[in-house]
Amino acid sequence: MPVSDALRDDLLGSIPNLRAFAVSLAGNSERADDLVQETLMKAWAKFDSFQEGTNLRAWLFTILRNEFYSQVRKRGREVEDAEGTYAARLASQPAQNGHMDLRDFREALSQLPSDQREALILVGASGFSYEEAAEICECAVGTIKSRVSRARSRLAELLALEAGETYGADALSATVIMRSVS
Amino acid sequence: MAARDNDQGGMGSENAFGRSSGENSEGKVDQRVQGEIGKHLRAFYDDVINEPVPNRFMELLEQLERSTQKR
Repeated sequence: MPVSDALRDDLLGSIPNLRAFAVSLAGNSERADDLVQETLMKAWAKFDSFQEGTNLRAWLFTILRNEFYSQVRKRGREVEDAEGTYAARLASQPAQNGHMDLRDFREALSQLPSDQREALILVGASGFSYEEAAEICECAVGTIKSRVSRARSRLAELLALEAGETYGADALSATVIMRSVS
Repeated sequence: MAARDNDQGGMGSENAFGRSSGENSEGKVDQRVQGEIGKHLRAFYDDVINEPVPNRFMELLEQLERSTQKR
């Protein structure tokens, strides 16, 4: 089936967002880009099942997420390793804006269970509604809400541990202050 | 440190973070902490968003278009 120019342009425009989501799932940008490539090919192959005018981005995110977890399942044993080294990989990504606190944040993010991390990313960074995120993750809206909430609590905890108790008034900023001083 | 009975969003707390007072009695993270997390989350995400789209994807799309036209 020929793909309309408008749809092609929308697909092209979705790539930065797909990459960002893929990085947060896979932990390193090389694997993330392989995921995006696979997603684009799959999307192209089944564009006839996409209803133009509906949410293309959510549709693409669903494909990418399914692809990620099917790869994880296929890899079997390797997964455990992938999960184990995920923290190291994500943390070793250079912080491109050069801010130390962002690196701390990445590290904390990498320590979340993947279901919580993806929920938090979809709602907090990709800009999806709870309903859309639930559709993408194929679960109930309430499940997404509780995952996001648990993810936030855990992050707050992890980042507070980093900052210690001295700068309680604003622990996240305190991390920055402490780092730039030391 | 014991959790305060009435946590008003962490205002005036000597330790506004973590289990003791960064969360209210329902175990939810307060608004200000949520805001901080959201800010960092978007910074992390936007770092990737702002990267130029790698050439491989432009090439892939061109390739896909050609293969569709041939059919």
